Amino acid sequence: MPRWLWTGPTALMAALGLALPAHGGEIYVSNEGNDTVVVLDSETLDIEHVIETGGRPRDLRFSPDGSKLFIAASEADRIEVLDLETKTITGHLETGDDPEIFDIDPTGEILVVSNEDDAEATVIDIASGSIRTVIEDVGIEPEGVTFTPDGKRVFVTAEATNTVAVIDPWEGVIVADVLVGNRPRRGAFTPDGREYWVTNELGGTVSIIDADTLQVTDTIRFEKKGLREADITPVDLVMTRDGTTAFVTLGRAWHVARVDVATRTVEAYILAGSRVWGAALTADDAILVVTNGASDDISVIDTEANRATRSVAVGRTPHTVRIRD
Amino acid sequence: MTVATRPAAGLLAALLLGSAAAAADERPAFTFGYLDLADDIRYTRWGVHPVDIRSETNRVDLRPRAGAEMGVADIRAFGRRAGVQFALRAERVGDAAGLPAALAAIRAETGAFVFLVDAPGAALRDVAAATLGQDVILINVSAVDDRLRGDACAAHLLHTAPSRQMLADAAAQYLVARDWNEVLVLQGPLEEDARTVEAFRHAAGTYGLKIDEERTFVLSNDPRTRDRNDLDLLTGRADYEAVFVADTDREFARSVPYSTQDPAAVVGAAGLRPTPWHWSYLRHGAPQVHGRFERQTGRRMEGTDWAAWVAVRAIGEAIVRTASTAPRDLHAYLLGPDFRLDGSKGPALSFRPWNGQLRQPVMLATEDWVTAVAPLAGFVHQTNDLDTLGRDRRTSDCRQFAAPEQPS
Repeated sequence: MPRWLWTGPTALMAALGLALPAHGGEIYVSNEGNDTVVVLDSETLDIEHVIETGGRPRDLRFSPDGSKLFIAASEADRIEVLDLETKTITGHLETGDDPEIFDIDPTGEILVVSNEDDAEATVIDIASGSIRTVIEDVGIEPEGVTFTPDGKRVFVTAEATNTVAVIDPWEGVIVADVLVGNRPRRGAFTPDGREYWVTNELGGTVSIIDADTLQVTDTIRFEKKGLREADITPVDLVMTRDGTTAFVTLGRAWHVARVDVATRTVEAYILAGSRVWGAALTADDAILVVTNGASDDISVIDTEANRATRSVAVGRTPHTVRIRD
Repeated sequence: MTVATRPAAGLLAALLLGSAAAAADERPAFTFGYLDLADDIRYTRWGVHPVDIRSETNRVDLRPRAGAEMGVADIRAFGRRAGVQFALRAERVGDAAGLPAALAAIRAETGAFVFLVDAPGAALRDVAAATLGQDVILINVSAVDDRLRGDACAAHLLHTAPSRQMLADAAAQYLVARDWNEVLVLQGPLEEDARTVEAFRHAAGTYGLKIDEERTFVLSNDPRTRDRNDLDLLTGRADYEAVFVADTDREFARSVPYSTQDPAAVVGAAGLRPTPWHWSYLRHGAPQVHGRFERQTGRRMEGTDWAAWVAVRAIGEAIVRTASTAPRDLHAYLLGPDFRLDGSKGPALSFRPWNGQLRQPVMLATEDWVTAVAPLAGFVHQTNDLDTLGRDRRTSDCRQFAAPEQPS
């Protein structure tokens, strides 16, 4: 199906080794192996701050007002709140057991987190820190949590049930569940909110769900000469702001796939590090940063050249990356 | 109540739960049958540590029924989608001869056609013969006999337990990877021990290990059998870097590590043991699986628990993917090219279409650590690396499966 279609109008740029555009922003990376979040200058790629967190920090999200970073500290059973100005942890939210991935509604009122060990999702009121609802039976080993762009619903993947549960977090009910590929992990909406793209780690695919009909409309497969099928294990997925391009981290395959959203074709496979999982784009989509969980570093990818320009050691088992710029 | 055999309509579509929730109580049951034996030598006190035998507080039921129960709980959401309610109907039978009758009784009562069987190989063969051509799917969750996957196979008998050959191949791969190529084999008195040595001999041939000598041991203090009960004598005057112990009940095996004449790794029934599952495994979502198991059962998850759990998961997966609860649809899908199962051991699992064996990684574990998982790096197969473990299509003696075309 998909082919290597990218023939490289920007190959020349890559060959010339053009430097990264100046950004002056910050890159936040959680290291689940040594309980830290590190902050890198997005221009120099120097580590500017090392923040000690609760046990096993994993997912990270900025508050919609841009003042805070929420950090899921899985072993501490809570989400910690980092003040972005002072770089200090100022408080936390109780989440129930083992919070892994979460998302915040666009107004910043509530946060929804998956509790992997309990097949539950917890809805938390951010201002009061109180738990509004615990939604049970969202599927075994829930993982990815994504709000629809309008904030009305949340899509939660369940790794062991091969489903995506569609949740109304305001009413605290499961609206539907959708069967996808094997071991769904994380996903993203197209910016218009019409499609939800979800990675299937064991199936080696991405399923595309129509957000209105809740049907799987397309499946994207990945294949590249020299990569064994069993190693193609998609985990994270990010989309450019204009919704034309998706980047999919392929886990054990050491590569990131660049997918054209409209045609569903894979345009390029970009070499990254070992067990490449987390991914984030800069606001201008010029730079993609991915975490390499098994080589303890991040790869900084120039999205014009489709090539990694730098790798930076960040700590043990980097999990999630977010960029503030 | 009978099992729904009609394809459940609209199964692959998103299921709107509003209407389904109302119908929850009216959904027909899909019952898994589960059979085991009251008197099964594998669960008697053999192999249990003597202190545990004496301890009233430390007797643990190691039967894998607990794994099947967790499987049924895990696929509850599949039932919501398939329009059925999953249930387990377990029966413990006095002796092996009673298994076919117990199966028929559960079938008549509940309509069950999927049966998980926890019984030794010979008993399984009899159950398979008694249910031939009856649209029953049997799943072997514990017997390792190679003949069940070979010349005594049956098309309706699937295996989620690995075979003896798969376990032996895993051990051999590890020794080769470590460059511990010369092996002393210690064989116990049971027929099963002889089969284990046979499998290891085959693995040694496949991977190029040199078996320096094969010696038989006895569990005895009789001074007249000193050459066979004394580890100094059993492990003396031989050239080896590793000792492979074939000891089904593991009672003698536990004394072997650190007691060899030459420094040597011990593998097999003691030391580094090949097993389908070990509670200490930390990757691929395994901690979530044994965490659930321990909370439900209060003990560690064993290899047979995993095999029973994954058997139920396989059927659940087949039901949602085929949108059917008809035995033939499920059987065809399980053995077909599209079936993929997540067993929380890394690669996707599937059934070998030539003998019904579940392809799976084999863990090599000490008491409290998974040292390696086979297939090890570097052991590659032309189609699926998992097929480096156990008999491959070309060397299989099984002729009972509607074989798809053989690659030349």
